[in-house]
Amino acid sequence: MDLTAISGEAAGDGGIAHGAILAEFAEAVWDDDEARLEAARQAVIDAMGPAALIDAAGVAATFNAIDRIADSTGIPIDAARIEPTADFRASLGIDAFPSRTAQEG
Amino acid sequence: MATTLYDDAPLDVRADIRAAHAQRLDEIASPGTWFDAKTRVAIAAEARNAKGCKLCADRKAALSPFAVDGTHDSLGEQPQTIVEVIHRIATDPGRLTQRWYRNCLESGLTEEEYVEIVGVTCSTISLDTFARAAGTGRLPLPAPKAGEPSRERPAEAKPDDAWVPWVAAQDAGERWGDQFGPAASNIRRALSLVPDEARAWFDVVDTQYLNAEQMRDFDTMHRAIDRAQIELVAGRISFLNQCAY
Repeated sequence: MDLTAISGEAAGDGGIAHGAILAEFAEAVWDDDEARLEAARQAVIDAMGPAALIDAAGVAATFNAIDRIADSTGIPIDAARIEPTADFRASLGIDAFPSRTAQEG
Repeated sequence: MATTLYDDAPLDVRADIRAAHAQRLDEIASPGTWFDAKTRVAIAAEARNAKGCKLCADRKAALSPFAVDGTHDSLGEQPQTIVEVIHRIATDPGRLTQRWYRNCLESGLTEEEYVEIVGVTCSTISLDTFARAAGTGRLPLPAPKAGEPSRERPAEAKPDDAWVPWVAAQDAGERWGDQFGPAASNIRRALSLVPDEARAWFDVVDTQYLNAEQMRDFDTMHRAIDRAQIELVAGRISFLNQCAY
């Protein structure tokens, strides 16, 4: 799996089955463009079926809210995850996010 | 919970998601720990209203949200201090700071009220995000029920490594061990100052995403998309939200 799929920099599917379709779906959910979302939804259904759309919607719905809980309560990254994810966070620029600075500040 | 939610949706919504959403809406419309049901439903309505707020749009576009003063476009049912919390969490969560949190407390909110607002606001955002993502149409907010908030603060909750006080792993003891003990991640104890909100939110998470046991099981396909596909959607959303957690 190409971890840059998370940042939107991976070419194609990033080593994940239908990765490009799912990444576009996630972006469209996050975006405000209804036509883009409708097209992304249909692409998921066409490639993986309606059950996949429901499950992908559930995941997107979870993380669009859980991110807000983490950011608004100022929880630190779990100690056990700091070292194993250090390279990943640095390479994707996650350590430079304002929310990371706010955690440390 | 038996429900008719999503009966008119264009696609079949899993029965466990239907039940979890019905349960969460019922909880939002019930007396909470620090707010009555009318206030909780008003918080949910204000979370929905935040997207149309001009002050929030101006702040989102600014280099720093703290450089823009003004008044929120609200539904008028909440004090501006509560509206500020709801709107900022809804529209610009990645740039919240501990100083902003402290200012909210100095403006009159208690820590417990703040955490309950976070729980109701984020649950509403989650249900609404699901509706938009799946194309099901947003669920109406239910009418508030009568009753008083319980006003029970867990004695084990204290200031620690988060902005808000929480039940730390070492303090969870027998009462909270299963929910907030050493095996739990920090995100599971983020709302532990108001345990009912923490439990209710993770009932939704366990259904929409994966429960703790499923998260540790990489060999079974628990959903119609596989684990790599699940984490791609999760990671892409979190990256776009600029969430470092």
